[in-house]
Amino acid sequence: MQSAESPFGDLIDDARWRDLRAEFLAEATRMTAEAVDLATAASKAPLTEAERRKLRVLAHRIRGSAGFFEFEAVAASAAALEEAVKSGADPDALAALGRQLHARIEAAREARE
Amino acid sequence: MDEHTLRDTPDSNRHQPGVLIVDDDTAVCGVVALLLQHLGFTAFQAQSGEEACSVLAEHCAEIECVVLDALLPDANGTQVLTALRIVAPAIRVVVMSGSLPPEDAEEFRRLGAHVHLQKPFGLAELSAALSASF
Repeated sequence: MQSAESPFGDLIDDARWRDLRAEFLAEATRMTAEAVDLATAASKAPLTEAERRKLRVLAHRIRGSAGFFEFEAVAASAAALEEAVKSGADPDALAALGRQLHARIEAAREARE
Repeated sequence: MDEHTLRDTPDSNRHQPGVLIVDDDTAVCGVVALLLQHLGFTAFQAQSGEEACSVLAEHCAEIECVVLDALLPDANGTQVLTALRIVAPAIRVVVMSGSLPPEDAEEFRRLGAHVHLQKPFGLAELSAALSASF
């Protein structure tokens, strides 16, 4: 269960913590949309090297940042997508992982509302 | 300094070393900046390799260490580190990443980066990494 209380005690107060989490979720939502588009496109035509790198960077960013803000399920999904891109997984697998990441981001947003 | 982040600051006469955070995620920069301020550092931020070089060039007298994300939108962390060293050859660098392949870790070490901080990290890990690099 994600906490609205700052895990940094009095270093970062709860209100600021909530603001930072909201900021992350907004950015993660945008990045996930971009990642899903790329992952889905992979099923129609092979991704270029630049597109694969972009997808990997998006997944890497979401993975690293999600952990900071205690969105563990999002971090796990992003990690799976990043590893899949690195290992050259097939397009269907990439698309499925992209959809899973999107679902987990949405769940995290709904949990905050 | 953002009012949200004002804390009991150290004596203003004490030297507060500057640390440049380089991460394209502004929320992560926000967290790390707050932790650095608590540790007595002055935090600078940059969201890209190009911006990092620009900020470092402008504040090179104040910035003593860079906390650098290993993967940025405009370049790999090693490319950014190489560019930062042109601006400030002796700058201390701590690399942060969610995951760092061994070959990348080795390249960072070859370029003189001091420590790898695994994301997510807390105050203790950040403090230890900075202590190791200074």
